[in-house]
Amino acid sequence: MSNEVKTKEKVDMDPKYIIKLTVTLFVTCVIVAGLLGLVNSVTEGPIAAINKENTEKAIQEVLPDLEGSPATVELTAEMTAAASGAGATLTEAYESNGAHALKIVASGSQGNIEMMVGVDAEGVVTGVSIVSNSETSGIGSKVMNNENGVLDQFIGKSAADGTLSVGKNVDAISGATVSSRGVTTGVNAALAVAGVMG
Amino acid sequence: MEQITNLLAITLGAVLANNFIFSQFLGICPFLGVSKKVDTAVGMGVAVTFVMGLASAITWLVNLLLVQLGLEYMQTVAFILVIASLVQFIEMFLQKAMPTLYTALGVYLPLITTNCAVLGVALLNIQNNYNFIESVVYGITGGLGFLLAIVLFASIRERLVFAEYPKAFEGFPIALITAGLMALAFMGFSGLKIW
Amino acid sequence: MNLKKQFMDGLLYQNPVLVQVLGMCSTMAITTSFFNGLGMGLAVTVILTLSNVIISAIRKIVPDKIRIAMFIVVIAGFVTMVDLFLQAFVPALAESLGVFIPLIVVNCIILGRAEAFSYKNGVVASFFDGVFQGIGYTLVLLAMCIIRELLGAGTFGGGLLAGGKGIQIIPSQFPAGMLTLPVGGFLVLGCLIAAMQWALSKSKK
Repeated sequence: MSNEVKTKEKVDMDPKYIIKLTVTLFVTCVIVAGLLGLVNSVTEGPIAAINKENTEKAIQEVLPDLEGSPATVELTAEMTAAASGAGATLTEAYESNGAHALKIVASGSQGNIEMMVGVDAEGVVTGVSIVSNSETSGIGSKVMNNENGVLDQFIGKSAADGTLSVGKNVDAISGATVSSRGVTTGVNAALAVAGVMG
Repeated sequence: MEQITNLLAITLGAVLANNFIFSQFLGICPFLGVSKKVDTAVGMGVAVTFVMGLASAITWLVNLLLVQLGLEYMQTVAFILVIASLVQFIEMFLQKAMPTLYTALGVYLPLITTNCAVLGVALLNIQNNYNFIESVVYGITGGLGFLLAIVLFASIRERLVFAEYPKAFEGFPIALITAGLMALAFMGFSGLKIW
Repeated sequence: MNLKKQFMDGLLYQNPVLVQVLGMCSTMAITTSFFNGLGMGLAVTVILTLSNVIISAIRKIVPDKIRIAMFIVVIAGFVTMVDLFLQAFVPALAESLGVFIPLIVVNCIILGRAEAFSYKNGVVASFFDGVFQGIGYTLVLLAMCIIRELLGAGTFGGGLLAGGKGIQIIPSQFPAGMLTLPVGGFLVLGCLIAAMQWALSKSKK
C-alpha cells in the first residue's frame, strides 16, 4: 500500500490539481454549512423554548413559594469561586424576592450531575431538583429520582449545619454512594454561593 | 493548587474511573481491531494519545471561534474536519520522519479519524465546560486510558489463542466477553476520589 | 440490483453489527432502554440512507484523493441536521443519547457503506442499501436493549411504555443490574455475535 501512495504522490503534486481538490472540498463545506444554517434557523426557536421551559420548571420545583417570574442574575467571580471552592461549578443563577435558584454542575458516578438548588432569603435550602444526569440506571438513578426522599433530606439544611457530607449529616442510598456524594457536593456549593450573594 | 487537584481528578477519571473504553465505550472499533499483538497495540495507543491531545487543543480553539461567530451548530462538522486534517498531516509527517512506524501502523493510522474517542473527547471537553488546560489534559489522559486498555487487552488476547472455547465464540465474541470482564474489573475504580 | 439479496444481506449475511462488526461503540453504549435503541436505530437509518443517496449521486464528480474527506463532510452535515431536529422536537431522546448523536459521524457503518457501496453503485441501489443496513442495525440494537433491559432491570419498553418507566415484567429484586452497566454491553454483544456466527455456520452446512 505504501508503494501505491508514493507513485500517486509524485503524479498528483501538480499545483493545479491541488487547487481543484481544495476548491471542491471548500465548495462542499460551504453548501453543507448553508444547509445547516437553514436547519438551524428552523430549530433554534423550539430549542430555546424547550431550554427555557426546563429551567423554569426546575426553578419552580426548588422554590415552592415562587411568586412571578424569577430574574436572571449575572454570575460574578465571587459566586463562581464560592462554588468551585466547594468542589462544583455554578452555571446559572436566578433570584426572586431574596430567594435564589442556582444551577450547579457536580461530578457524579457516570459523568456530571446538573442540578437546580433553591435557597431562600435566610440561606436555607428549599429544594433540590436534578436537571440532567447520566447515572447508572437502577443504582445512581435512584438518587436522581428522589427515592426514599434522598433529595428531600436537603430541605431545611443551611450553612449552620456545616459542610454536608455523606455519612455525617447526609444519608446516601446504599450502593449509590458516589451519586449521593455528587449531589451533596452540589448542595454545599449552592449554600456557599448563596452565602456570598446575600 | 486547586487547579492541580482538579487536573489530577480529571486524570484519574480518564485513566481509571471513567476509562474511555471500559466506561464510556469510546474507541471500541480500533480497540477490537488492533489488539491482536501487544506491539501494534502500543503503537496505536501512543498514536491515539498524541492525536487526542492535539485534537483537544485545536478543537477547543476552533470552538471559541465558532461561539464568537454564533455558529455553534457547525461544531460537529468543524471538529471532524479538524481531526481528519490533523490525522492527514500526522500521516505525511510520519511517512517522511519515521517511516518504520508509518509502515507498522499501516492502514490503522487513517482509521484514527473515525475513532470515536478522538471526536468524543473533543465534544466532551465542550460539554463539560473545560478550560484550555483541562481540555488538553483530558485529551492526553483519555488517550493514556485508551493505551492502558488496549495494551492490557492485547496481552490477554495473545494468550486467548491457546485457550479452549466453543467454536461459535471464535474471534470477536470471545474478545468481547474478555473485554466485558475487564470492564467489570475497572468498575472497581469508580469510587476513586482525590479528597 | 437485487432487492431481495440486499434485504437479506442487510438483515443477516452482511449485518453491519453482527457480521461486519462495525458501529460497536453506539451499540453497546446506548442499549439500556428500548426508547434509546429505537431512537438511535431510526436516526442512524435516516442518516445512512440520506448520505448513501447523496454520495451515490455525486460519486462521479468526487475526486478520488479527497473522497473520504467529502464523505465525512456530507455525513457530518446530515448528523448535525438530525441532531438539531431531535433537540428541537424530541428532546427526551436527545438528552438520553447525549454525545452519541454527534458521534454518529464516526459510526463506522455509515462511512463503511459509503466507501464499500454507494461510491460504486447507483442512487436507487444505494438508497435501499442504506434502508436495509439501517434496519439490520436497528434490529440488533433492539435485541440488545430488550435483553439488557429485561434481564438487567426487569422492565420492557423503557422510555416509551408505562409513562417512561417501562412495564415491570420481572420484579425489581431479581434482575442482574450489572447487565445495564458497561459490562453487560460487552457480554450481551459478544453472545449475540457468537449466536450469529453459529447460525451462519449451521446454515452453510
